[in-house]
Amino acid sequence: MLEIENLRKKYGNTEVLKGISFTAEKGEILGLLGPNGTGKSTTMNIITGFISDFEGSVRLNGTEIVKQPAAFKKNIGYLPELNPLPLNMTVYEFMDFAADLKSVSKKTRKEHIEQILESTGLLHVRKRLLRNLSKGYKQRTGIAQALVGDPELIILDEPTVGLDPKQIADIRTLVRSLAADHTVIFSSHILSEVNAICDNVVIMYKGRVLTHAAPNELVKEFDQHGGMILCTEDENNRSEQILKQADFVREYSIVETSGNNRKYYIKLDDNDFSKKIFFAFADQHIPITQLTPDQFTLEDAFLQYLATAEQEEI
Amino acid sequence: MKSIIKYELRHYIHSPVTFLFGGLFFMICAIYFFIDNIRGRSGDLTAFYNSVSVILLFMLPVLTARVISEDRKSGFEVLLITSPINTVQMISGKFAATMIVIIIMLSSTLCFPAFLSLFADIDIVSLGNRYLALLMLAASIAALGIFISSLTESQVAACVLSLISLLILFAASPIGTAVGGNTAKIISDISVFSRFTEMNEGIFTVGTVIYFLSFTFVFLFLTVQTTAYRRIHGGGRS
Repeated sequence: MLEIENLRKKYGNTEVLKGISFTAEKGEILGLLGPNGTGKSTTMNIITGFISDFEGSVRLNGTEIVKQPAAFKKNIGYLPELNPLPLNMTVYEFMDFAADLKSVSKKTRKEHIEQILESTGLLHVRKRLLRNLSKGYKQRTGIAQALVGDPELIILDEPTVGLDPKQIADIRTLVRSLAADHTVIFSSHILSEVNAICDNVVIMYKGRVLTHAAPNELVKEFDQHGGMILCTEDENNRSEQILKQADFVREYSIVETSGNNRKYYIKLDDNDFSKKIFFAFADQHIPITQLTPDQFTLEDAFLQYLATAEQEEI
Repeated sequence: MKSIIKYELRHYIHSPVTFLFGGLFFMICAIYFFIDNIRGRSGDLTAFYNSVSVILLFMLPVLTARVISEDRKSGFEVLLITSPINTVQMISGKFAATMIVIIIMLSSTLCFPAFLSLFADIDIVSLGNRYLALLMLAASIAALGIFISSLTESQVAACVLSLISLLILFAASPIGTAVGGNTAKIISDISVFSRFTEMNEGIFTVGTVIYFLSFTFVFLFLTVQTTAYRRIHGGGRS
């Protein structure tokens, strides 16, 4: 279990972390979200031991990073955003080097490395030089080195940046599979990806944690008003009058008008009133071309949190 | 530390620059040997080893420039720092690997006294003293070069800065002589090259050995400190 408590960090007079606290359990994939310059990388750099000067505490299964840095780091696997690889090494040589750094026993090393290469789909390219691998395989190699030594905590900093859709899907599946035996901290700007992969997310803003919750809970928190998108084909411009007269329509606004086509954003007292909407327009012989719930996404929740935080600052 | 030595040595082995550099070093040494000893019909190797020290001055900055700057630029330093090895082990490993390459290079020059021994008597103790001096000089230059390499992400800048620093140290001795008096002694004392010249001429003192070791240690210590400083400041990313 990873425990971050009251983490503070200053660069000169600028306080970039203002008392960050959160936890991550074993088997959990935790997404770290926030705009650029919000303290995500600093937080990750502190957890990985790259930054050594900070206030607060970082504990992994009770081991404090400041007191036992070597033991702590042995239990961490890290894929930095840039995924720096020694291109003159083969995949296996690089894994062997990573095993050397983590003092993996020579007796079990070969078996351990091959097991990781198999689980990350790299076994067939183990003798290839890293410079000759595709970006997807390089990224897999970066993740594979993070798994060396079977660390408790794996930190992946934007692991899908620059990959094609197939490679992104493969990496997502791989990251999901890691959660069974590890705690994973995952940073990404692609919120649909975070939504698909992470069990919980921490939203950071200007060095503070705004919230820590499951993605669906965050979405629910804002998506409680039941908005819908209504599109009609209305020659005589009567749609607005119908909406005005309908007592179950709490509010509406026109989104787009193009010829006879009209698009509205409507809020109903309950989404079950969609049948009433249908009949109200059918009675007037106005065809409805679209009537769908306007689903709130993690991206909307994220932006809403940021907007609220910005407003509070003002 | 062993893992870093292996990693660095692998880098040297895979880099064509190492072989080009080694070959060039041997060739220039051979030219000086020919000029100083063969053409000059001399069995005294003092001038030859003085020349070797100057060759080291110009060539070692090329070898040491990449040691840390390259890892900084590629971001590989992050992987090393976040691994269980500590900064002292990391810097010591890089220094040890550089010294292994230097020892191999210097060993290649043993063929010159061996060749000369066919025609003249070679004093083994004196020869050992010269190689000890060369080794300590090279260690000092390497430590300085690695320190400068830790200050920048640019290999070219590291190489040029190292060369300038070494030229200043090299020039300290003649400048000291020109100034004269106690200042001359002080300036001369701080130059690794005047210390080397003393040992090469057969003046072996414990003070000189301590000086070389201290010089090397101080720059390795400074390298560890600059790396630690970057860790404290985290490269400025937020």
